[in-house]
Parts: sequence; structure tokens; C-alpha cells
Amino acid sequence: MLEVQGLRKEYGPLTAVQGISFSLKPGDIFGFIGSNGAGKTTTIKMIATLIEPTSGTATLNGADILADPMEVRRQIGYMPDFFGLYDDVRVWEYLDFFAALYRVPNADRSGIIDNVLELTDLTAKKTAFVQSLSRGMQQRLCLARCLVHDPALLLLDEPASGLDPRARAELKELIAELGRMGKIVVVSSHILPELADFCNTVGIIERGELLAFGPVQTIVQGMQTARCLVLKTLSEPEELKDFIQARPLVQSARAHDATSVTIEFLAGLEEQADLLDAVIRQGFRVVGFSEEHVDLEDVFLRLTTGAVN
Amino acid sequence: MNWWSELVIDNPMLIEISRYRRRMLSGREGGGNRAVLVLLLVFYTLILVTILRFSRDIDPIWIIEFQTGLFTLLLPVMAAGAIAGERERRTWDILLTAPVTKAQIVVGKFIAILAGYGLFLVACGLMVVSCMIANPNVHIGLTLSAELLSTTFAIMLIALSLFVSARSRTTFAAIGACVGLIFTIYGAVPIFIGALFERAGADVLELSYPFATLAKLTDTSDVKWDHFRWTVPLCHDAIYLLLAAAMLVATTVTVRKMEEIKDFMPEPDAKVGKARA
Repeated sequence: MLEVQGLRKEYGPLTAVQGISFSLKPGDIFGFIGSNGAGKTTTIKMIATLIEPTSGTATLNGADILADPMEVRRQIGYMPDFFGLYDDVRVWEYLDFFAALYRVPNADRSGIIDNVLELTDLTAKKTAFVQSLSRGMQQRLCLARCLVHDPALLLLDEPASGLDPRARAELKELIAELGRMGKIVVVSSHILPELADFCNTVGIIERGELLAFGPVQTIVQGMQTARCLVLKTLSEPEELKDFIQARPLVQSARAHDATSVTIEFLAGLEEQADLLDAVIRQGFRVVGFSEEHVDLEDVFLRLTTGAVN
Repeated sequence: MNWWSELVIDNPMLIEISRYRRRMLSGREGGGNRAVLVLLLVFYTLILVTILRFSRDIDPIWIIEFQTGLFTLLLPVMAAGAIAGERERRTWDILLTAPVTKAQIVVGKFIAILAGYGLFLVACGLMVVSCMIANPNVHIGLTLSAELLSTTFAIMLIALSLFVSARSRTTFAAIGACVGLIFTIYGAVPIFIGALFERAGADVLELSYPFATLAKLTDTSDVKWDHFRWTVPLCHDAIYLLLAAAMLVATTVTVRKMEEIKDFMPEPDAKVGKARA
């Protein structure tokens, strides 16, 4: 269980993180969303015990990042937003170095290294030099390094940046698998549709403030006060807009372009069918009528202003 | 002796010794390292054969002086990347999230470099011992005293290089700073003192400058120096070991305070909210 309580970080007059709180349970894959400079990396670094918070704290399975940072470090695997690799050693040597650092017993190391290499699909590269790996493989090696000591919490800062689509898909599958293994995974990313695919919880941060936190669906539904319908027509859209605007249960309507009208509608499917029926009876020529679903990206754009610290 | 156990006996960072060994000896792809190692071995064998051939005429302290000069140039290169290199490769943060203290990291790296130095020392020691065996006139006590002085001086140099490394952002900058510092202390300053104070300056140098002290150990013509022949090297040893300990503490403090030093603060991300764009 990860509990973050009022975590705050100030750099002189600049407040990078403004006292954020949330909690995650085993198996949670938490997507941390925010613009560059929003405070994601600072928050992750505070949880990783790299930066001391100005106030507030976080506990991982009862171990406090301030009172017992060593115990927290034993339980976390941290992957920064860049490849931190010793490129002049072989893959297994790299993993062996970190396994030793985490005090994995010598007798167990070889087996554990084989297991994490299999999990990250790098078994064939065991004796290759780190520098000879592709970017995607290096990223997977970084993840393998995070796993050698079987951590309870994985902190992955922009893990998909710079990867090609195939490597991204593989990484996504790997992260989902880690969630299934009962690990808490914190992932920060800019690629919102990807996060929505495998995260069960998200947090949106801007200027160090956590604007939203919770399951993806809850956040998306919370943003949707009305359903968004798009009606495509061959008739005059301004005229159609005025007609729709006057109908009951319509919150607003606006002519989107020369052929479509966007409607914010406050009722269910039955009423939606009645509205379409009324529009057609009125003589408007309709060629399309669909609901536009709000996704994580829409929520993010609505909640944030793009301001940075 | 908890600190001894934590920093030396039970320090997981001692795995750094294996990493150094693997880096240096396993040979990278293309065999670049192996070629250098073979060349070094050939060069070393040639020197050893030459020394064995003329060992009756060679004072082992000359070899120790040569060894000291060589280490003065090599050790900063070996040690300067220890922390700056981690920062440059961006592996530093990863190291700091491992369950090891900053003091353990610093001491682990220090011991790893010391182990590398030990390997070179054994190689040079072989030459010194060859001379000592072949030359019956060699003063064994003075030779050991010279070797001790050379070793403690090297230990101090490693600690100094590690400290400079902790204060530098890149390996290249650290090497430059180390070499510059050593050249100033052991090159420019002696020349300046010698030129400024003439005889008195020379005395100061003989007492404080390791290379001059080593040279004096072989000089039996200066009677005045007989009184100091044993005590001066021992004073050097004590001072170098104290300086090394102080430097290691300073390195640990630097590493601890690194995040508060503006130069080492995380670089701010781009000021444009890309997601909105």
C-alpha cells in the first residue's frame, strides 16, 4: 500500500509540488499525467527518496520515506525518464551489479537474473553488451533492473518516451503483467491514450497540484455533465442549431462547421431517439447522428490550462 | 566499530570492484580493451627484463619515484569518472535509490579504485623486489619507507580525485580539474617556492614535496638530512592518510548536499505544455 500525504516541495520561491495526497493498493497501475514541469518527476523522485520533501510524507507498506528511507528503497524499483545504463558491461553483469547492491544472496542471483530476463524477453541477449541493445531493449533492461529485488512499488518516469510503436506495445503489455503480479505501478507519461489502455487509476497534475485522482472511468464520467452528440446534416447548420437549441433537455448546441452541429444533451438514449425524430420531422436532412465519447485526453485538456511553474 | 562494518565489511557497493574488473578485463566487443591490455603487458615485460638485466645498478627507490610519477598522472584518470561519470551516464539517481547510504557509495568507489591501484602496485612492486634481491647494497628499510610514502600519497590522490569527481558534472571536467590541481600543487607551487626562497625554499620542498623527499632518501651525501631520513616520510604518510580521510568525508558531504546545490538540481523541463499542443 502506497500512501502519499500532503507531499510538498519548494525550491526557494518556486513550489514544484503543492501538497498532494493519494493512495494506491497492490495491483494498481497509476497513470500520472501532466505537462512538462507540472511536478510529476519531482513527486516520483520524492517517493523514490531522491528528493527530500519540504513537507508531507509518503509511506510504502508502513515504511516512511523520511523516517525509514532504506526500507522504502528496498521495496521500490525506480526507472528515471532516461536510460541509466553502464554500457561497457554485459546484460547479465549489469543485472548482477544491481542484484548485489540490493543484497540479493549470491546463490539466488543467477536464477533471479534468468527470471527477469525471461519476463522482459531479453534471455537471448543475456551475454550481449548493453551498448549493443536497441533502445527498446535497453528500456526493457532498465525495467528488468528494477525487478531484480522483487519490489512492491515500481516508479516508471516516462517509460515509453522515444520508443517505436512495437516497443511501446511490448512495454505496455509488460507493465500490465506487472500489475497482474500484484505490484503497485506508477507510470508518468504524456501519451494519454496509452495510459488509458492499461492504467486503472490516473492522477492529473498541473503546477504541482493534483487536479483529479481516481479510476479512469470515474474521472471521465465526472467530467461529463452532459452527453456530447454530433449531428451531421445537409441542411443549413445554423438553422438546425436554433431548432435544437429550443428543444427540451438540450443544454447547448453549436454549429461546428458547414455540415455538423454539436449538442450537449442531458438525457438518455430514448430522449436522444426522440430528438432525432423531431429533427427529421422538421425537414432537416440528416446524414449522421452519433455520440462523441470523452476520453482521457479530453479530460486532461479540460482540466488543465497548460500553465507551468 | 559499526562504521567499519557498514562501510567496509558489509558494504554492498564493494560489488563496484567486480564491475571495474569486468570493465577492464572482460574485453569489450571489438577487442579494444584486450589490445590495450596486451600492449601494456608487452611494455611491462620489456621494462621488467631491462630492470632485471641492470638491477645491480638500479636503486629501487628510483623505480618507486617513477611509479609515484606514473600514478600521479594515472590515478586522476582512473578516479575522476567515479562519481562524475555516474552523473554523466545518468546512473547516479538509480544508484541513490538503492538501499545504500551515500557514505557507502563513496567508500565503495574508493575501495574499488584502490583495488585497481593495488593491481598496478603489485606490478611495480615486482620490479622493486627484483632490484632489492639483486642489489645487496639496497637499504631495505628505506625502500619500504619510500614504498609506503608512495602508497599513502596515491591513497590521498584517489581521495582527492574522488572529491573533485563529486564536484564535477562530467568525467572530462573532473579529469581536467584533477590534473590542473595536481599540476598546480606539485608543479607550479614548488617552482614558485624554489624561485622565491632559494635555499630555504629548497629545504621546505625537501620536507614537504613527496618527489623531493623520495629523491632525498637515496641521497647519502647530505649529512644534515640523516636526522630526518626516517621521520619525514612517516610525517608524509600520516598527513596523506589524514588528508585522504578528510577528503572522503568532504566527498560524502558533497554527495549528500548535491540536490541542494544549484548546479546539480534537476534541469527544469521544457516550459511548453506539450500535451496541450
